[in-house]
Amino acid sequence: MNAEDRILDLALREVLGDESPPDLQRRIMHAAQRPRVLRGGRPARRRVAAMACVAALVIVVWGLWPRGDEQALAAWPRDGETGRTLKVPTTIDGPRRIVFAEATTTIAANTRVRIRARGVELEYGRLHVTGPLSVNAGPHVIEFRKLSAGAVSRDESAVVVAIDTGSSLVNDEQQVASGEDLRLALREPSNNEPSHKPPVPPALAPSTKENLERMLSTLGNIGVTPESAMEAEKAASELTFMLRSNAAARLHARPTLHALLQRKNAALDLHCYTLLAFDESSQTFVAEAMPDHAAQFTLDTILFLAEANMRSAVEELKRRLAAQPRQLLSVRPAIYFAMRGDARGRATLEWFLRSRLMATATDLYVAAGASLRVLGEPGWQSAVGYTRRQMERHLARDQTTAAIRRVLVLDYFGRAGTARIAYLSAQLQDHVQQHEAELDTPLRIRARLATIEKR
Amino acid sequence: MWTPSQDTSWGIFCLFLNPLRLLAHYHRVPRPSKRIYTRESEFAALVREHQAGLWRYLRYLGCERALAEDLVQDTFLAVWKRPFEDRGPEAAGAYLRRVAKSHFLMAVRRKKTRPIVHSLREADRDWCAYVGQDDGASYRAALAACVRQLKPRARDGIERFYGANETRDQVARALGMQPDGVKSLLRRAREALRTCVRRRIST
Repeated sequence: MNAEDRILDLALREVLGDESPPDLQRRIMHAAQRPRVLRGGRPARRRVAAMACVAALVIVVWGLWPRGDEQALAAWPRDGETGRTLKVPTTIDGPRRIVFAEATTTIAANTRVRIRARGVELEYGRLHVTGPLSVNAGPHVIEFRKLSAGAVSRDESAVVVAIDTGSSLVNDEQQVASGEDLRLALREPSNNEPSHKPPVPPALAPSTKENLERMLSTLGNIGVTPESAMEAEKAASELTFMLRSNAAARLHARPTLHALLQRKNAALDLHCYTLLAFDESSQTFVAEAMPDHAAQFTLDTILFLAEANMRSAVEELKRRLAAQPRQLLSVRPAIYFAMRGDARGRATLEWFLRSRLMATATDLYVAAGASLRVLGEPGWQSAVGYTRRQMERHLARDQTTAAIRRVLVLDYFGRAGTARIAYLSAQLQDHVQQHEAELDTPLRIRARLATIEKR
Repeated sequence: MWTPSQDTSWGIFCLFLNPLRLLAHYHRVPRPSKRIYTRESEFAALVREHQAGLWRYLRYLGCERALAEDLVQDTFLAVWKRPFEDRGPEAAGAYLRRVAKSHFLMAVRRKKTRPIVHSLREADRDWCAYVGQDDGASYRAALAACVRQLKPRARDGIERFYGANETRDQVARALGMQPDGVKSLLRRAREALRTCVRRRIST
């Protein structure tokens, strides 16, 4: 039956029969007033149920979310912000814990932790402690998010962890392996321990002591006569070498340097701050003064303080890198930040290597290349090639001393171009034999070592 | 037979495959956001104006009387919850038919049957072509006039079959004919009525 037949059929039944459309108005209007209709149909109810499920899920997640981490995460420095969060992947990355087997000291919230490896001490971060741990409260577990991965290599498991309890640093040496926790038995330093005693400077050799006092006196005479400034510069330079390598001399010089700072002489202050930077107990003092004297501080001093994790020094380094990203002065700050996983530092370093701006500053160029090699970046190979060409040029000019340095640098790079380095080392040995009389003793020894190892 | 190339038939086909398609088919019906009635009286006027036409349309699609009444109610309740924009009685009727058709498809799926029409799209087009804009009033008037013009024997058979709901055998006994003869009589009468109605509507 087609459509027309159906229509005709229905129409005949309506015209001739009793089939007629019913009046559904009352029924429909009555149904429209039902609460179920007014509340919404099945799709609406389904939407409401879905929203209720989502709300319940949100509430459950919010309730189960650990509260203690929020403040710590908020205070955590962002990656690349200060360069303190290292991102070089190691086998022991990921969340780690410090387990306090016997907590016999009070540890405040946000306690600073330092991790030292490879002889470099880095501030790791702050412990996630929501409140102070009470004395003798039993074992405690403090979790922290990420281990200072750049400071601890795969094969170097000895780590020195220092926890600053406010009154003293408590050190403990741990063997860290993948998946293990650092277990520290903290103890409250007693009053008999050396950390609470006033430091007694060890005895200095009479000649060293005499030299030290003479140089400090010369430094103190700055500005007295026109010649005194130059003599003070010379004394400061000699003091730098002495204090850098002699801990006892640092202890002896500390009171004098602090006293000199009271004279408020700008040039003298600069020298004193630089020299006090070598003194570990004065580093905080120097770092606090840095914002006022940042422009005058030498890059060496700032880098030294930054390596000691002085925040103001790191900030100053960051400022210098941002202000002069395309100058040779920024290479070492860039290396500093790149080695700590900072993206900007690494990018700056790569740019330096690509642009060959450092062609005249071989040491910096090599240092940048070495940094990138440590970071696993491909750019370091160009530094190897450049160093090799430098060495060949030095050998061609009979510049044995410079050539030895290049060989040592190439040796630092390790496996890269080993055969070529061996060949150059053989050439270098001939030069060393010819010019041995011209070399000073340390360089002669290093040259022999370099060539012998390559043989 | 229906073909998958036709949207509605394809929708029917999909209904048997995936229940979610049913909702999608239902939600594809365009529903302008602006409502035409803000009071209950306006909605009552809408029901009064379109309920009969909607009921006839559902009967034409193959619904039983009770099912047609239920679907008319469901259609108006759906419109009551989701009002539409007023673009004239003809557009409103077309929109109501689309909503009713969606409900009809859902009912068909619930009962796991097939609609008696092969193509809902063609059925809708034929409905519009024969019933017109006055909800079939002129068609029925023309048909009543044409019935009066039939020969007495044919008119008697038609009135008994459609008016009194007698079976073909009952009609045959009343008219003194064989049942097959009644079948031929009714077929010829319907053809005559179809021709007459066409002529009357066209003029």
